[in-house]
Amino acid sequence: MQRRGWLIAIVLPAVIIMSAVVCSSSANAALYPSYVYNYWGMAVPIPDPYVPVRTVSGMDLGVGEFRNAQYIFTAPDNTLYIVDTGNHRIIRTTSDFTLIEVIQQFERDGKIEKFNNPQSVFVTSDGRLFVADTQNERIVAFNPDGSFAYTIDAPQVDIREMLSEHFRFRPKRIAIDPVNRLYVTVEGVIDGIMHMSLEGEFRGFMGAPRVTRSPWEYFWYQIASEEQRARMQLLLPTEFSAMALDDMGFIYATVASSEVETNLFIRKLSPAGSDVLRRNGFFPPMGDLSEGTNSSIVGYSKLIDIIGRDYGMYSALDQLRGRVFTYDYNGNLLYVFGGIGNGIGLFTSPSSLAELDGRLLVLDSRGANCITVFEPTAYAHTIHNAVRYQYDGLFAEATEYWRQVIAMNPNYEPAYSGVAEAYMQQKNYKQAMHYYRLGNNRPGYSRAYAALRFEFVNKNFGTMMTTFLALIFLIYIAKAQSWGPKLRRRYVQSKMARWFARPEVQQNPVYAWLKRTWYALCYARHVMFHPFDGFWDLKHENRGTVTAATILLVLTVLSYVFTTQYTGFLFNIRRVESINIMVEAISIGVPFFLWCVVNWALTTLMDGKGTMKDIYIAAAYSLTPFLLAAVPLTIVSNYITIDEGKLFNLAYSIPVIWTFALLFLGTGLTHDYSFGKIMFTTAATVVGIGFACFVGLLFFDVLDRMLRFVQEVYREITLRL
Amino acid sequence: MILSVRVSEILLQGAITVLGQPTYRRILLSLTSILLLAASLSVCAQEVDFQLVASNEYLNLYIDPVTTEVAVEDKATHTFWYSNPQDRFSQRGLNLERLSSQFTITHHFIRSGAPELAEKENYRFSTVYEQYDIQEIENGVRIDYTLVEQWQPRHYVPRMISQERMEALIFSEDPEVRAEQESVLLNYYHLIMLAPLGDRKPLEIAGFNHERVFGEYDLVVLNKDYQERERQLEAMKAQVAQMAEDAPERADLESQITKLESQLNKEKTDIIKRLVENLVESRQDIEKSDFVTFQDVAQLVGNPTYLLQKVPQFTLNTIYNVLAETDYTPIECGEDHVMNNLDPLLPNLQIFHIPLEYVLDGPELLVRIPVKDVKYPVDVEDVVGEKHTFPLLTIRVLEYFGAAGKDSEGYMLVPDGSGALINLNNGRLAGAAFNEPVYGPDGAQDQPAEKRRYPEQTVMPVFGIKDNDKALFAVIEEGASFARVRADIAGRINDYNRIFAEFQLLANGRVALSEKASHISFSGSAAIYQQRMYEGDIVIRYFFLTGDDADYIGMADSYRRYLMDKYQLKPLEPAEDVPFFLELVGGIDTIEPILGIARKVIRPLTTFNQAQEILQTLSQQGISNIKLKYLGWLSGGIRHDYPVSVEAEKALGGAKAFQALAEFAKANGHELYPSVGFQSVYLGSKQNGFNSKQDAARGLNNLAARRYEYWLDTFDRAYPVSWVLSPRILGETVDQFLANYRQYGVPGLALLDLAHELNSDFNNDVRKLVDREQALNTITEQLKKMKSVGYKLMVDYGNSYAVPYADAIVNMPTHGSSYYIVDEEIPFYQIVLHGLVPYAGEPINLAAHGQDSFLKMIETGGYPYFIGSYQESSMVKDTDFAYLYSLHYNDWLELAAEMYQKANAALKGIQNLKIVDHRKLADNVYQTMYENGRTIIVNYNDDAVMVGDWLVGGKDFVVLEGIADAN
Repeated sequence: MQRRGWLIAIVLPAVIIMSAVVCSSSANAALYPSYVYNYWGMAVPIPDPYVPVRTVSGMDLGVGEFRNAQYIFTAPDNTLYIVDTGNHRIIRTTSDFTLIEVIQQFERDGKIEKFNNPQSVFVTSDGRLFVADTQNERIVAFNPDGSFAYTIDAPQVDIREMLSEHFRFRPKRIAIDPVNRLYVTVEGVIDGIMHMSLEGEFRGFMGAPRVTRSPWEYFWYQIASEEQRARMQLLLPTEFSAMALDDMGFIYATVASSEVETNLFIRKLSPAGSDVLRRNGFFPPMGDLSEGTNSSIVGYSKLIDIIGRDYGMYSALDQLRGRVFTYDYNGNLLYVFGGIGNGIGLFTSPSSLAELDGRLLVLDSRGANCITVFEPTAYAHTIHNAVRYQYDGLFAEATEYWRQVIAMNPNYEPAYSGVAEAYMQQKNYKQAMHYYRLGNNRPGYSRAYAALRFEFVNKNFGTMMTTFLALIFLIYIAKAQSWGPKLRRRYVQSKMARWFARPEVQQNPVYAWLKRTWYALCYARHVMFHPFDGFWDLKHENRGTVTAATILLVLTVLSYVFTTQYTGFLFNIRRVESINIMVEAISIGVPFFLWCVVNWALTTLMDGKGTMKDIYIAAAYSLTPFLLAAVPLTIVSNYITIDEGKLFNLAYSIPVIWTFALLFLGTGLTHDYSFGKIMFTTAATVVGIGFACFVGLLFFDVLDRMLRFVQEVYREITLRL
Repeated sequence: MILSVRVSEILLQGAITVLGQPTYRRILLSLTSILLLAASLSVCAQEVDFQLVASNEYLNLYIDPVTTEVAVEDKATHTFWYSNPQDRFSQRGLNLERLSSQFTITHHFIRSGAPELAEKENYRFSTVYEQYDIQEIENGVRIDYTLVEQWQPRHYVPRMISQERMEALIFSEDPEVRAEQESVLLNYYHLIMLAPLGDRKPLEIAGFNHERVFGEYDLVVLNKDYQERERQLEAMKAQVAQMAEDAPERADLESQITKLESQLNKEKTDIIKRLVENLVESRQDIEKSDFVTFQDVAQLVGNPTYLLQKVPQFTLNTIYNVLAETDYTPIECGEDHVMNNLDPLLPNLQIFHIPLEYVLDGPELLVRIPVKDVKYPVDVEDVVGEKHTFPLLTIRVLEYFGAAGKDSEGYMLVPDGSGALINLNNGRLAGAAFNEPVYGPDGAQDQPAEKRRYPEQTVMPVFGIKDNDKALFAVIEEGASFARVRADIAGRINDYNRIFAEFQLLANGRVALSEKASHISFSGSAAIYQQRMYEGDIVIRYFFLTGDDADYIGMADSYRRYLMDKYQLKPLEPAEDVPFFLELVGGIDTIEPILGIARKVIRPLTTFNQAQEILQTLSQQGISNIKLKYLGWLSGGIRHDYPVSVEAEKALGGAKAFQALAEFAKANGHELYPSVGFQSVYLGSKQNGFNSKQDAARGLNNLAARRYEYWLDTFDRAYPVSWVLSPRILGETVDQFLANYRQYGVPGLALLDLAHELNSDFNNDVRKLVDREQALNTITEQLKKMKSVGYKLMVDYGNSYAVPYADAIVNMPTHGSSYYIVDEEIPFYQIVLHGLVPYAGEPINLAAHGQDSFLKMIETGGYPYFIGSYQESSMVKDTDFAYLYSLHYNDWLELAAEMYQKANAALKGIQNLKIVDHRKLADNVYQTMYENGRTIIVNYNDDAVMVGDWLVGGKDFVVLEGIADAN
């Protein structure tokens, strides 16, 4: 081996780091997938926003391993407090993790006292430390010089009435806002956050989680006995799992319980106690959207800690899957990172989250028992800048960063909206629409489109008006000159008409069939407007044919497919890519045939006069209003804005209602029923359809189970033998 | 020299017969012939006595024939390496037994219908019974171990034993000892025999048919006190007989006689009952006492025999303690049982045969297990004729070879990604021990989704341990593909840091029998195993490093020389400029509705013409020597058709445009490597005759293996993506591909998965089964084939078996997986390979920290690597390729040009040179030195550092040019 030890000997001793910052990154690939949710609620990959750069354990600090450490807190002076719950102590370090002090005990009236399972701390801007000394049922306040000041013990009698008799004052999290209001969450207290004066005088509860009760539960509650009611109540309310102040004095609070609606997992409480959190993202801030099924971890996110960050951003920590979710002030999910496992950047049971010098720290209360330090990557910096400028209303600057975000990660949809915003201001509506569309931002798209349309109309008002007037004039002339009758007359006299009139043509069965079908189809218009007369004729005058009915049905299916695929972006909330013509056909066809069959089955028992064929024809003819309206309306939907959407929906519902009315009426008329009987059979048919579906499902379910059973038996036999 | 072989050939033959012909009598016979020396149990206290067995000019190999541990001595420095820690005797119990073992096997046994795992160390289950055979072989020694079930106290304690044998085998001649033995044993044994009944009336016992059981005989109790009392009774009876009818004492005496008589009768009744009960308990064919006949006790006629009383477990231990001191073993115990018409104790079914060879090969030691001689019990019959199989799952080889104690300083080298170090005694017990499969997971085995996120896999079958000033380095030469490298620090189970390889001889898993089975614990799943074991050898090559060489540079150097010798690798030719690795993404597939029908369409990200344009642009930016990997050029895009037909994707311009690109590349001095993945057959693309029933690899459940997409948030399976091609079909597929690929005349080929994925085919049909080592060989054959036709090969990731055939490696790991137990991640693999093959790490534009990724490239001697597309990045939005973000080449063009210039300045001229030193100078400051003295210092910190006289800027590096050659 040829090695040059002597060079190293020169070089090695002389390494001097120029700065105190030791902890910096090496380009570790993170162990977890970072992602965001897109408009469709699917997790899509993003570049890692944060990467773990180091871990800090109790050993590293020289104070022995942490035990069940529950909380880390960044004080206003940029020092870090670690609440080492299981060791009953508070550890304070500088921002680069040099130990400052370990607070294990304090002197009170000449006596030494200790903490018992402290859960959290808070440090005010003037340096006063408050420790939630949980098992000692008190909050201990310290002076800025570190000496003991006073304790806040359980609030006195008057509030006992508001609480259960088992109330114990076990403070979990504390926060003190800029005007010295003290907020405390207490273990096992479900009435909300306790609001106290800094001296410990109880002022009331705030932000009690709203208990939601479904009508069904309400019903049971009403008929339950006292005992049962008491038990029910135990289950319903929940307590806050974490609390953090933002710089405006608002409180972010999380609930880690499946008893609460998912969109209330995170709340932002004003001092008055109302929830002012913005939920303008694709989904309300709630951590992961799905519970999962097959993986070893199942359930909604268990948000165990939350911190307020700059520019209205906030991050919450999910204990279940070890992830940090960050949202902007509007409730847009910015990025998700972290995970459970055995490696740097993964946790066993994370308990707390803090931000220190732009880095995020996550405390793990078990497993490696350490703080993991995450450093933002270029991607996170860019996105933070974009949010910052947007928050300050500087859209032009924000746009530049949003563009960079898109370049780094095309999967982040709100960024497209950010860029579109800039195009809107430049009055480049076409581009704005393009980007809004990429960002799945329908209100934005609508605004851009409205502006574009307005601009178009403005620009082309003269031309449009001229065309319009010319058209009116043309129609007037046509009317006046009676062009229509003239044309008809000319056709009757034409050779072609005469050829058609020849008896051999007229008697040709194909021609006759075509003609008959054509007339039968045309009759649909009459049925639509004169249902009583029309449905009677369909049956008794043989005005309808099965062929025509089938054509109507097929056309309806096609127009439905057309509608699902070509409805304007603003009104189409389905994923166009996932549309499958067969599924769409079935979604019209199955209910249609169910209607026919069930109705037939029912009416044969109720001396209905209609045959299966009659019912089929009547039902198919009833579809005409929808058929005629669907395509034009779909086309129109591409040229209107969301504001006009209400009108559009109304316009859409008319043919649908009409169709249903015809369907009910027509089927009834086929059977020569009275109006009352029509109503009855309609209702009965609907019930019957429900029943048929139920039986069908049951049948398939049983069949499925049977097949699976056979499969399992086969598998067991093959494996065991 | 002649070794003291304590177990004769014949005896060992017996054990082997057991494996072949499994009837219990044979087992008994063979077991009888195995000599068991209980005294050897106390071997712990013995001195280790090494004897020289082999020697060459570099090394001496010693073995202790009693403990079968070995030691290797480096002749030059007289440094020793031991297979088992020499100071282990401070440990106790199971730990000491583990520390004294050379290997451990794990196997399954069935308990209440479910398979359970058992571990057997060779010390506890073989060595102490001296069931091994040491033979000298050329340059080394071979030890054949037979592992048995461990004897328990109940195996030692005979239920019945004749007085004769008791005297001969158990009772000592030394009167003192004998007295002690008697004081214990005679408390728990009755001495009985049968004697003719004569005209006496047999004892009436309820529910006992004297006639049937004892016939003409009667049971005689020979217990000393009993006989004494009997004599007393006789005496009293005689006294009464002599007495006058009306003597005053008579009534008193008679009542005494009645009392004593009934007492004796009761005791005798109990003994008879015990005798019967004993038969019922220990004989399979006697279900209740009514079945006992005279035949069963006939041996007692005139033959005084000890009968064990009914004793609780702890008493059994007391008796065992006495017996363990004697030469009496379970074998004799079994004989006694047979002699007394009792079933012998359960025959030993769990017999494993493991050979282990140590061979000196130059300065290295080879440890070999010829797997064809490894035997485990298959379908052995027990007493009742039930068949049992004990599948041998894994074997851990030389778990404590070179193990370092708790006062040692140094580190262990683990092959995680590019390589990582675990400092000895680092105290990181919070993190799990290191335990990773070599060459990554098996695609035919179902991987839990969570396991997938660890970013790096093990690419090289090596590990090492540096203990103060000596080091041990191991290369798994054969059988690496089913090995796991395991390492752990002191403090978890004992006081030693250890690193070793574990081999999975039989892949195994569980299959759920019903859908719900995963939620229900009872018998809802069955264990499944690979149908046969691997058939080759397991070979580990150990290198012994001392002094200056005893560090990871030395280990890397050993491995480099090993690879160069084995594959005749030559250093690269010196080249002008450094290469620039460019990956272009051709087509991706996406679903689009066409007339209401969702269909797969190919969305072109970079057409062949656009690729030319990008190459031109890069050239204009001063980037030369481009190695272009073209992803997704085949028909079907990235998830291309089954590549037996080779068509350039039409959406990208078709064959003509592709050929034009190839010519353009050639004309401009670039190398084109069109990529192809052989081992995945994508579900949505053209199958070209691929039949998943026959051609897909089978999982252990014998179903065709598929790969899935997983949701990022819940880790649930989303949808299947591809079939896993069976390695059996691989050769054919490659042949057809090559035949059709020739038409394009492109000299390069990028192999996406051959150096990255290694899959078995666990077909139930043994003829179709391909084990992982065979799969590995198949892959190397394909690589050889392609090389021999003249293709230049670019591989992804770079598992070590593929590297000898590769002309370039991309996506080579530059990191480990950040396991908690790891202290430092080092570019070990790069140190091994630099100068032999050009390589690149991750694409810089996809890295979380681009600059750090660039610095890593400089530190590890890699070259710039970018992945790009002509179209805007947003083209991948809402497709399955959303992970390919930030592709647009305009976004990274300038950065790439700048980095290339810097890389060229730093790495030009040393592309063919070896890295001779690499070390950490301070936190996040690393130094790499090349053969010619060029030294590069990289600083990952945000702030500048002073290194000697040199200022290294924050996130920057310096190149120190050839400070005079030392030699």
